[in-house]
This record gives sequence, C-alpha cells and structure tokens, in this order.
Amino acid sequence: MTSAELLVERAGPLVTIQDAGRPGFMRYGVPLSGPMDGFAATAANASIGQDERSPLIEISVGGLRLRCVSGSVSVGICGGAFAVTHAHQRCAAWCVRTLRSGEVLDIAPGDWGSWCYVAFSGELQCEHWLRSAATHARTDVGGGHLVAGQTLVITDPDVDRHAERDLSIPKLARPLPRAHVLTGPRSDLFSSGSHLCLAESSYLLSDAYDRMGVRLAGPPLTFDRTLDEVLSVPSQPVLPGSLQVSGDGVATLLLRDHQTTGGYPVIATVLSCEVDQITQLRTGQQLRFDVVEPDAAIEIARTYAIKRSQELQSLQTGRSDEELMTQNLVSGFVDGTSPPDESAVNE
Amino acid sequence: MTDDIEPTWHAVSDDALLVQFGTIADATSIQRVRALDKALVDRSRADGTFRWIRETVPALNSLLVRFDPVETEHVDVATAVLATSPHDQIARSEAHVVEINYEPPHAIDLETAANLAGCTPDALISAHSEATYTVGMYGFVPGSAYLVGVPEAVQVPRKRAASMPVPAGSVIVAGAQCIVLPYAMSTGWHVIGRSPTPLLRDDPEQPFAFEVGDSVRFQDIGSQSLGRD
Repeated sequence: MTSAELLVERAGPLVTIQDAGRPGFMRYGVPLSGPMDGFAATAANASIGQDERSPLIEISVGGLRLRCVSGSVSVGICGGAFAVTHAHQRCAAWCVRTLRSGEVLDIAPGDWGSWCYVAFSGELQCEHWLRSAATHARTDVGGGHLVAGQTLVITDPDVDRHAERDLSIPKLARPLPRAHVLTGPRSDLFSSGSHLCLAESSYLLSDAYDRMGVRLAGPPLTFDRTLDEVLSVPSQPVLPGSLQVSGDGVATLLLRDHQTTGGYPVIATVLSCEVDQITQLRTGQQLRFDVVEPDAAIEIARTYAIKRSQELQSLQTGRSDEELMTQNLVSGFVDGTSPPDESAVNE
Repeated sequence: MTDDIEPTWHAVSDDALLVQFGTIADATSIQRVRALDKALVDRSRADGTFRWIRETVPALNSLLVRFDPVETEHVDVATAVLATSPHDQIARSEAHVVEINYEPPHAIDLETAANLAGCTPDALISAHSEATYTVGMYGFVPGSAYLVGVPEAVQVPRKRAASMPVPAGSVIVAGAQCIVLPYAMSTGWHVIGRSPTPLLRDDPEQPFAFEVGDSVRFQDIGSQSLGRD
C-alpha cells in the first residue's frame, strides 16, 4: 500500500476533518455535523472522482498550510474564493492540483467566502465516531481539529488520473444574502412586530460565529408573552437553519454542530437547501429573510436539487474532457491543443 | 395530563415537520411521543410515503420528522405519520440503574442545592436516589439524556453562572431534570454526585445506554472511590 504524508505547518482555528456527516443520531443529542458548505465539499470530492462521503479537510478563514513530505497526492480544492498557493504558484480558488514531495499548499482567506475544502485522491486516515469522520467541534469527536505539527496520511493516493486544472466557480457556491424561511413552530410566542421585523429588516452576521451557529445583529425580536413563560417552553428539536431567539431578543442562526434540542423559541427556519450558501457569508455581511409557505419551500428545494446535480455533473464532466485533451490517444503523436504535458513524461 | 390532546403538526423547513402533543411536557407526553416515534421507526422500510422519511427526533412533547422534499411533501408526510397507530410502548420501556456516588469530591454543589431546597444534604440524597426518572429526550451535547423526575421538594434552579469544567459522569440537576454528563464540561446546573456507569458506547447499533421513554433509577454506591481524575 502506498501513501502520501502531509505535514500540517500551520492551521488556524476551525480547520477540521469532515465527511458527509453523521446522520441518524439526532435523537441521542448528536447533530449531523459535516461540512458547513456541503455543496462545496461535495464538489471538492467530485472534482477528483472521490466518493462524496470521503473524509476531507474543512478550512475556515483561519487558513491552512500543508507540506507534502513523502509521496504524491492529487487534491480537489473548492469552497469560497480563497487565496490558494501551490509550490509558490498562485492558483485559481477552485482547482485540481497534485502535491509532490517538498511542495507546500497554502490556503488563506481571499475575496469572499468562509469555508474551503481540500479533498484527496486516496483515503485520508482519521478517527471515526459512529461510522463518520465528521468533526463535532465542541467535543472534537470524529476526525478532529488539525493542529500544527500533525501529519496527515493518505493511503493509496492516485495521481495519474487527475490532470491539474482550474475550475470555474458555480453560482451555487456564492454566498446568499437573502434566505427563504418558514415561520414557527411557535409563532404565537412572538409579537406581530417581530414577524414584521424578521421579514423587513437587515441582519448582520456577528463575530460570534462558529460551527454551532452565528449570532445575528439587528433589531431585537420581541415576544408576546412574559419572559418567564417564554423561557419555560419545553425544549423542541431544532435544525441547521433554525433561528432561535433568546430572552434578550437576539436571534442565533443554528448551523452544523447545533444542539439538537433548544429551549429558546424558534421564530423561523431557513430552508435546508439554502444553509450551505449562507455559511459562505462572513462576519459583518448582511442577511435578510423572505417568508414563504410550505408549498413554495418544496418547489425551492426541488429546483435547488436539480441545479445542484447539474453543477456537480459538470464538475466531473469537466475532468474527463480535460483528460481527453491532454492524453496522448495514439502513441507517437503530440497533443496539439496545449503545451507539452510534463506529467506524460513522468509516467 | 396530555392523554386526550390531538397531535397537531407544523412545517418547520423544506425537509421537516414537527408533530406537537400539546404545549406542556409531562410523563404522558413523553410516552405519547415515544409511542409514535417507535411506530414510525418500525415502519421505516415500509412502502409509500414512509420510504422518504429520513429520521425522527423525539423530544418532551414533540416529534421532528425529517424527509426527502424531492420525493414527497409536508401534507403527505403528516397524513402518513398521524394515521400511524402508536406503538404500545409503555410495557416495553427498559428500566436502567445508574450507579452514583454522592460523596466529596464528586458532589461540589450538594450542600448549596440542599440549602436552596430547604433540606439537609442527606434528605436531598434520599429523595434523588429514591425517585424514578423518565428519559425525556437527548440534547445539549451528544449523549446528554434529560432524566425527568427530580422530586418537587428537592428541585433547585440553575446556578447564576456556569462553573469550571466538571468531570465526565457528573450528575447535575436543574428543576425536574437530571443529567449524567457524557463529557467533562462547564455547567450551570448543580452537581450533586458522580456516576461510574458508562453511558457512551462505540457501537453504532446502540451508541447510548438509554432510549427516550426508558426509566432510570439511581443506586447510591456510598463511599466507593471513583478516583481523583
């Protein structure tokens, strides 16, 4: 079995191993966790033909620097518009690259976006909990946080099939400044003023922002009951996208590592199909809400599912087109569409 | 009692709805939620709308139902769910025994709690250990089961501020609820003891010792040492 080893030279906070998530255990207080931007993470794996459940690295605006210390491995990088540098060359924000021994990959915040993903063409060795490598940040279960000095091992890395290429950033990768929400389930606890406020005000993402959720800054949301009554409501299950309002009228948007049940009332929930894009907003950026009915929510979810599928398909199709263009299909002839391919010489 | 309340439902997201059993939480609502939940879990591989249900999450008086919005929609899911006969669960709940040590250094807030409740520490220990608790739900952190049933006479509120982290296994109380902490952490609840009983397992088939609706009793193991970690 071959392997590649990558040394973590630098890792900011909230750089973690994730996979598609840990479904089915919310009844035991275990949220799904998984990537903040699930679309970008799936894209990273898809770009190098990896199963969408393969463990990969989630990088926050804290950034990451990896040095390949042995072996070679191809990587797929997707998510936000981060500043990506490979072997001292600046790359496109979304790209496929091959890391060779001695080469450094550096990922730092760029023009926009909060979460970037690096997928590997091989098996990233990591801890699992309940069959998933997804890290639950508060308890560090799963693959865990990356720390400087740690070595990552990728077994059976495959570099031959992955031509280095730049990827165009799909629209679905962009941050979403307006989200659709369904109100309730305890709308009755909130004043009519609150509902109006939610629909018409602009909120900002505060710097209280982690994998559990982000506090929103904006007009307070008031209740239609006494504070005691509001704080005595029995806890209910909540989801990523739930907008929980605490006693002081401040709303928190719950995210991937949310507590599975909440005692604070939920005024509305952002549609599950829009949470990925919202996570790409940064502290200080605006978020507004559009209230819809359940029928409309279903239509939005179905339209999104089709678009998502199309985008992922073209990321993979892109790969095979590129491969055809750069492979020597008949020996002895040189490919006339691009400069001589060095990887062909190394094979 | 909430026996006779008809469940209602509410669409909460594009892919989820919440079934509600009234507005108060009590032993009856917990059992009603569990009975419906168990019936749905049993039907998870059935035909029709049930195929598209991804997960159900029971809480004190509500049940979250997550589904695939591409294949089905809220009204169809709610219809199928509410037409499901609740499982006869009451006879089949499991009864668990959790060992507990109420001695120092494991019960840092026992005296404070006793003062607040207006009783002696021994009286609090007796009341706590003689009660039967129902697992109302999990929440807060993974593996944190809310055990409902602290006798009213010894109920205490949360502390004004959270403590320094306390060890895994610490038994904490607030109001009618009691939790055995699965991890070391800070808490605003009163720490009245510590349990050596392992509640987390590495088995994906049954990762946690309790199911919602099970009953739990505490067994005072007296002054057996739990170590100094």
